[in-house]
Order: sequence, then C-alpha cells, then structure tokens
Amino acid sequence: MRSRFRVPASVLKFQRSTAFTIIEVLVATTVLSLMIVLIAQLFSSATSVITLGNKRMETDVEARALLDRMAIDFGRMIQRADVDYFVKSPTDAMTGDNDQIAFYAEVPGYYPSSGSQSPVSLVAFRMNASKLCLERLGKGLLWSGGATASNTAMVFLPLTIKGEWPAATNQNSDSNYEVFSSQIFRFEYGYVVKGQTLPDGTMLPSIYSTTPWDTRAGVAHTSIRGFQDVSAIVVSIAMIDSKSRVLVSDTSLSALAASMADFDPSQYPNPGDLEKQWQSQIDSSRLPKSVTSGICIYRRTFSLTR
Amino acid sequence: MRTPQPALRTSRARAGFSLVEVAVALGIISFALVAIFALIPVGLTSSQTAIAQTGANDILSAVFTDLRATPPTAPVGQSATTQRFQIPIPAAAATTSPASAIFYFDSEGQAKSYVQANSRYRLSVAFLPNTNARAATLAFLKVTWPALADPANAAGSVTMFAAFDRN
Repeated sequence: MRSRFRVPASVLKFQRSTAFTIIEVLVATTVLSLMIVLIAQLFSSATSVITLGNKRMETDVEARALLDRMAIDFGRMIQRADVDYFVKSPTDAMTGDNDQIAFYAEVPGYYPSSGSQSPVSLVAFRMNASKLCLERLGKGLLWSGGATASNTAMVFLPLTIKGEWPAATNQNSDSNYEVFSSQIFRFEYGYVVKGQTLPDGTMLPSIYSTTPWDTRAGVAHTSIRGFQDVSAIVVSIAMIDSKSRVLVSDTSLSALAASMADFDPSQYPNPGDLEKQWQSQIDSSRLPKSVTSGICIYRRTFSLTR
Repeated sequence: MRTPQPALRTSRARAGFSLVEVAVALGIISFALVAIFALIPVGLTSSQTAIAQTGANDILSAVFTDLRATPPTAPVGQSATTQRFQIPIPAAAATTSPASAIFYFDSEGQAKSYVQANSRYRLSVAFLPNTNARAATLAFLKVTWPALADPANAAGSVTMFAAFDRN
C-alpha cells in the first residue's frame, strides 16, 4: 500500500485506477451485506437447532441417571411376603398427585454413626411438593440382632414402613433424603400384573393395574406378598431442562403437572396412552414455546425378577 | 507476499493483492470452513442417535415385559397372544420361524400394526425354532428407525434376544 503514496506526480492522472469508485464500493457493500444477512440466518437457525438439541440432551442425561438408579433399586428390592412396602395400592391410592414409593433394597445407604451395618437400606422416591424436585431416601439399616432398636434396623410385618419411618411415606424432612433431580416435575408409576392360567384352563390376561396384586376372580389376592403377582413396574416421568425451567414459575409448572393425568388403566389402557395425554396437556398449556420445547416425557418398564 | 523485485517496486503492479493471491486465499478459507461445517451434522447425528436409542430401549423393555407377563397356556405350549401389544406367540415346539410380527411406535410409545404419519420406530418380533414343547420360547426383538425405512437401510437399530419360560 505504501507504494501508492510514492506515485510520482506525473502519473497522478491515472489516479482513477488507484482507488475504488463509489459504484465499486456500493456494489461491494451490497454483496457483503447480502452475505452477512445470509450467514446470520444460517447461524440463527443453527443456534436454534443446537439449543433444542442441548435441551433434549440435558433432560436425557438427567432422566437416564434417574431411571438407571431406579433400575438398580428395583432390581435389588427385597421381595418377601413378610416385609412391608409403601407403594401405590388401594389403601394408598396416590391419586391426583405425584407418586411416592418406599421399600427395602440391598443397596448402600447413609448408615447411623454406630452399630453394625446391614446390606439392607430403606429406599424411597418422592416428589418434594414445595421444592418441585425428586428426592431419594437411602437410609442404611443396621443388623438388629434381635433387639427392638427402633428406626435403625429392618423390621418385619406387622411393623410397617409408615409406622417406623413416616418421612419415607409423606412430605416430612429427613436428613437421609437427597435431591436426585430438580428437573423432574411429574412422577407416576403403575404395575403390570402377571397373567395367570387357572387349573380349569381359564386365562387371566396380564393387565396394567394400580393395585400391586391380582384381585381378579379365581386368584383374588388381597395383599402384596412380596410383589408375587407383579411382573413389572412402569414408571413415567416428565422432565424440564434447566434453561426452560428458569423461564417458568413454580406455580405454572405445578399447574401443568396437576393437569397431567394419573396412571389410570381404565382411562389409559394401552402403552403410550398416558404419555399422549401428558404431551397434549403440555402442547395445550399456556406456557411459551421456549418452555414446552424443553419438556420431555420418559417411560421405563422395570421387570421384577423373581 | 512482497517479493523483492526492485524493477517492479515502483510500478503499480504490486499495489494490491493479485487475483491469483485472492483466489488461493479464498480457496484455503473455504477448505477450512467446509471442514468446520462438516462437524455440525456429525454432532447432530450422534445426539439424535442417542435420543433414538433411549426410546428404542424403552420399547424393548415394554415389549419384553409384555411377553414375560403373558400367562402359560393350559395345556402348556399352545399359541397365545400378548395382552398389550397383541404379539402372537407361536405354539411350542416351533420347528420353523413364523413370519415376524411388525409394529410401528410413535414417540409417545403407542404401538400400531400399520405406519402412521407420526411413526418413529419399527419393531420386528421374530420367534426362533426351539427344540421341544417344554423348551424356552426364543424371541429376537429388533427396533429400527426411522419407521418407514427398510430395516436393512435403517439409520440405527437396537436388538435384543429374549428367552422366556412359558411352562
């Protein structure tokens, strides 16, 4: 560029060719602005796609951690006729609200500071209604040694979870609860009750049920008896990613959660029916699109092995 | 790019970049940009695959539970149909594999025996021959997506082999 200023005066008449004309500059700026507009559009659409993908990935990661934890806990659940379960049943219907579950499982937990640790913990999952998060209780239990150490060792029926550890069955606080996920806002579960063939050849088909035992004629059980009739637990959860979560108030999210139906096989008999109802409630809610695009529904079927 | 050519130094030939220089520069930049932009679809595809695999696994767990929850027949070994997905289980001992049962699932997990506009996954349930009437029933489950694609050309798939007791 320096050479331009060393042009002798004799060639100044050719100055036209040393600089751009106004037309050239105009054309160049037009082309540049057109390109900038095109690239900006490209970037904005790429950003929106990536944002949506990131939201989805965030809830996926959180849901996978939660559902995998549930798979471990359900897989190591103690299935015995002589222990208590706090689960959805005719006595604890859990309708119109998020569900809650408490049971004994062979998983580690937070043990008391003294005493011999047993391999059994009391595990509970609940939605904290005030904080809108899912909490998991992992209360490590001690060997009782035959003593009646209250609230520290596994107990057998007729002692119940509700009687010994009320916090596992309601909204009371307990130091062994930990927040598992603050992105989940709806938690429902139900059972797949096994089909049975009666001695006379009558087939009772497997059913979705809110009762963890088979009440149908011919078998007509009346208690859970270590999940003897249950083939699987079906869990449905709705999650919202953290970017969308800050855009919506607790009240609106609770209202949306309340509009999402309970696990009810009489109304939603087929796989996916409940999720469809949930999705339609999300789509028809008054929440902005930027919020509803961050909501994902997951369903997992946990087979109980016996 | 200023090559020391004293003879040309005073002339205006080297006042700016030459057309060739600009073309080469543009070529290098576009080469780099193409490589960078090529990374975007890779990321999108892998996240989509992860999402689809999660959905397919949920379908497999639901279908396997359905197969397992179906009661044995009396007398044992007769053909039966599962309750939730209406999958026909062949009578034991199966000497030949019956035609696979095909289902199409939407993103909410609803199953249909035909393709819909919102179908996302295709499930095929194939029952394998088993040795005798009291042997385990063998099933090969394969979920592929997208639903409309031929399984051989699917974008992705999740498979599961299941053996369950129907006695």
